[in-house]
Amino acid sequence: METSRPVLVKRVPEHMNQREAQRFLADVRPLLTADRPQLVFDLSQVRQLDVAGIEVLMQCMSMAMRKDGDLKLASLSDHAAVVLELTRTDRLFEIYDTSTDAARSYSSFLPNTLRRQNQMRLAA
Amino acid sequence: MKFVKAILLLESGKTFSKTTGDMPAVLVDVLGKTTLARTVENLSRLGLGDITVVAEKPLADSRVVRESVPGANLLAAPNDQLWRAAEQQFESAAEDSTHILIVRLNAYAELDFEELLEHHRSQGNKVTRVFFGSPENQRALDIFLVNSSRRNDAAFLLRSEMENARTGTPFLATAEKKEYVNFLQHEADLRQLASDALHRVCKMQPAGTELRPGIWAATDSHIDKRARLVAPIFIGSRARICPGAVVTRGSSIERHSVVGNKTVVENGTILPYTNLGPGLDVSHSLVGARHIFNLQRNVCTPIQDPKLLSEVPASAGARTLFSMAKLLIRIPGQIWRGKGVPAPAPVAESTVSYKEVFDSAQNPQVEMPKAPPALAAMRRYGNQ
Repeated sequence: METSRPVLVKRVPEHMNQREAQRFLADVRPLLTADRPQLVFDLSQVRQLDVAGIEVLMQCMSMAMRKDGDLKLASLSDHAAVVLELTRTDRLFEIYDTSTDAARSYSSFLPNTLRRQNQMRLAA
Repeated sequence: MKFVKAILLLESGKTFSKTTGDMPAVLVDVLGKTTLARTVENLSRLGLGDITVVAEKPLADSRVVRESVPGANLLAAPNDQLWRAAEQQFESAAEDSTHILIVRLNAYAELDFEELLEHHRSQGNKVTRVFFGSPENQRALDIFLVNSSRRNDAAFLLRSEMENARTGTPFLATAEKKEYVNFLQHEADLRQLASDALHRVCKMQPAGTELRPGIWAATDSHIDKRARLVAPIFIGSRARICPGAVVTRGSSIERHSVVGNKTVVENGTILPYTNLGPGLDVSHSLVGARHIFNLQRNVCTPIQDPKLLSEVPASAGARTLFSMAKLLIRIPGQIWRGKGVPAPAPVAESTVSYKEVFDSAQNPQVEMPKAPPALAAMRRYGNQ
């Protein structure tokens, strides 16, 4: 199933502490209030991810979902990956290796995991 | 073994890991004691004539070294004079002994020293170096047995900082002979050592009592009744396990550490004086000094947020002040509760406040169809 709506890729700042997280939220809020927003957050630059930063990420996801859109994460830095795993929030997001993969995932109906399973089943 | 003496060399060297601060690996607690203390204990048990630990002065003056070497002599070497001091120590020890065991403390080894001595004598060696592994794949240890009369050989060995030695037939220690060596070169080695000890792969005993099969805890540890402990694990002295916490799969919580409410520690080592926040998932990791080393990703990263990870003060006075401050903060809440005013919010069960996040994301202007109540459950099918 194809979609013509744009996918926006936003780079998350290096330090996602209380102050930076609020600034980031103010930046992305207009994007999240659009109809059915399709967003990808690129976390490759993240060197500090605090609880405030994680809460903002979840808030963004929640806002996107309320508008019938979605938010996906991509290119997680080592620090971001460890902190998301530590706080058990990694399981709440769809996470991709690259922003391109994440953007491409919006154009397919099935979540990647199911698609991969289907491909494997077909290959077998 | 009475006429055998031991010289243990402790050098500061390069930092082992960011999770252990500036400590060498042998000074990091593993199941309640440093590997230095365990090495001294193992040698004392053999009945060696004399054990001397030669350490660089800053290390020799540190509390952890002084506490780790009961029953051994501690010799402080001036800066950059460790090997010279060891040579002098060899000369004085050689006067009333037949053999001297020289060990550079950079690995943990459980060896059959009597067999090593027998091998040294039967092969007619002057200097014997210990190797570990199989005949095809062996690795050298910085452990040498030297005849006391061979002062020149000892000097050659020590002056080259154990790089060169005039050794005879080497002694091969193997796992088949129930000998155990951990080279302590990587964070994973430290975790492996704790895991091996808890799974009884080596003879190392946790410093505590076995409350239930495989569950070792120091007598002064604080374990909440609502915490879940799954063997084999170790809880160190004055460590605190909060309600709802889960400690499992060979995890080790070292002294004075705190595992917060509903935090899960699985196959992890929480190093001394580490405070883990509530609702975390610490798996396959080594945590300490505000750093976390993830063994699966092979990544060490700092954690700046004290809500996730902080340090417990190392000094008893600071800890007392900290506890008193916490108590003083709680008193007004208790008074309010007594007056019938609603009590303050309970202790956090998670560092991330999910309710606040989702409540604040609500947009009252737009009428949305009622979302299924299990948002988190819906997302669970994301990338898993």
